[in-house]
Amino acid sequence: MSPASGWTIEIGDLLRGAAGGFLFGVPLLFTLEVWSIGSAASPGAMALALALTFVPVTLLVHTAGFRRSVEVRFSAVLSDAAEAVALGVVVVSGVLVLLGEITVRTPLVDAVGKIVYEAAPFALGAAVASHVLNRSPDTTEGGPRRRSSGRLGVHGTVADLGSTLIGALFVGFNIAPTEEIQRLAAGASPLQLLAVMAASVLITYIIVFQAGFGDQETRRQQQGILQHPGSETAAAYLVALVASAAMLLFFRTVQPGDPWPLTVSHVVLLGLPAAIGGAAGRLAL
Amino acid sequence: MKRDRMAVTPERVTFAAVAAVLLALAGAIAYLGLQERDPANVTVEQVGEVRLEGTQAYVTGEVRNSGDQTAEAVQVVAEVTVDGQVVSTGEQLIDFLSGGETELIVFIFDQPSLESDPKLRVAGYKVP
Repeated sequence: MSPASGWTIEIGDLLRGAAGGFLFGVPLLFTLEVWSIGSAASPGAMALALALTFVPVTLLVHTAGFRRSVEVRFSAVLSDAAEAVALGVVVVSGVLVLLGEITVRTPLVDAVGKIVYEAAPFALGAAVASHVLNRSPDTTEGGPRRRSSGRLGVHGTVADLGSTLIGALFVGFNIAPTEEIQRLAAGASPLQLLAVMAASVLITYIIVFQAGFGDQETRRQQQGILQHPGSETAAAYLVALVASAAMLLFFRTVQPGDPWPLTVSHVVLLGLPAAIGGAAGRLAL
Repeated sequence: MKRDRMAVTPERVTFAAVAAVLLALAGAIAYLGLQERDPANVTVEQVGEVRLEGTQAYVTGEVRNSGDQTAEAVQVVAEVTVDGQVVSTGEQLIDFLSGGETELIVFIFDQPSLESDPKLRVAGYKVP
């Protein structure tokens, strides 16, 4: 194996783990109670939570994992479990900073507590990443490309955007009526919102085109309208934003006549989990 | 042979990064565990002058938990007194205030009732 392909495989495995973590952990990243439990936790409770996280993560890595190659050695399973937890720690730290839940003024005990409790569901998602959505059949088994013929041209574009809408609604409906979006929107700066938009697009691109879920290679080769990886990601994000606005209006979280900057904040923030749901929808449906 | 054993492989780099992240987290938890944790000590004091807007007066207060433990459901009360009689009150509730954390709150009074600066105080909190 050449050094370059070694790095490609390693980075691909880590991206797959992060993608699985997002798919499983995104609702809890937007749950006030998890932030509160983390904030109120004592160091002893944090240490216990971190240790307990390793138990299911190790079991799940043993049966599923996030790597293409399946390792059965116990040391390799332990190493992968540690990677899943560390991946969770790093990524949720970034997301909590992005959402403004961890700032330079946040006390250390508060920040560490939130990270520990948010990393747990993320690590579980990373640990089952290869089983959350099937691995690419064209790269793992050489089997038939199940969607290539049915997703061409306008039909394929409509199918992709429809799947995105269903996935965005599936995840977004759990979050749209809750207090979390209102709380985050109230404190979000324009720069922060731009960062959330960039992160939303990047995460969904990784889930659909880099993580190796589903028939990724087939998706890359699709020739239909808005089916280039870049244009498909942008169009899907737009669908997620429209779905977010509709859900917020449905639950009367925002209403016609509200100040537009506040409405934009709500839509962009809900757009992050909705876009992740939309990406899952494109892979699953 | 020796060079192969020392080679920088992707797996080794990842393992080193993982070890660094988990050790940093475990170190932070251990550091927090070794610190003596005082009970929550929540205070509030007025910040700046009273801001007048139309018929309303805005009074900003800074609530600080100088203890180590988290205070939940912190209740802050503002009272305006004239000749020893409370003529107007305001109340704020803060969901969580971690040790070392501060929050800014604003009370709004009708201008005519604000003949003197209001007295801010923390009425209580819940131990999580």
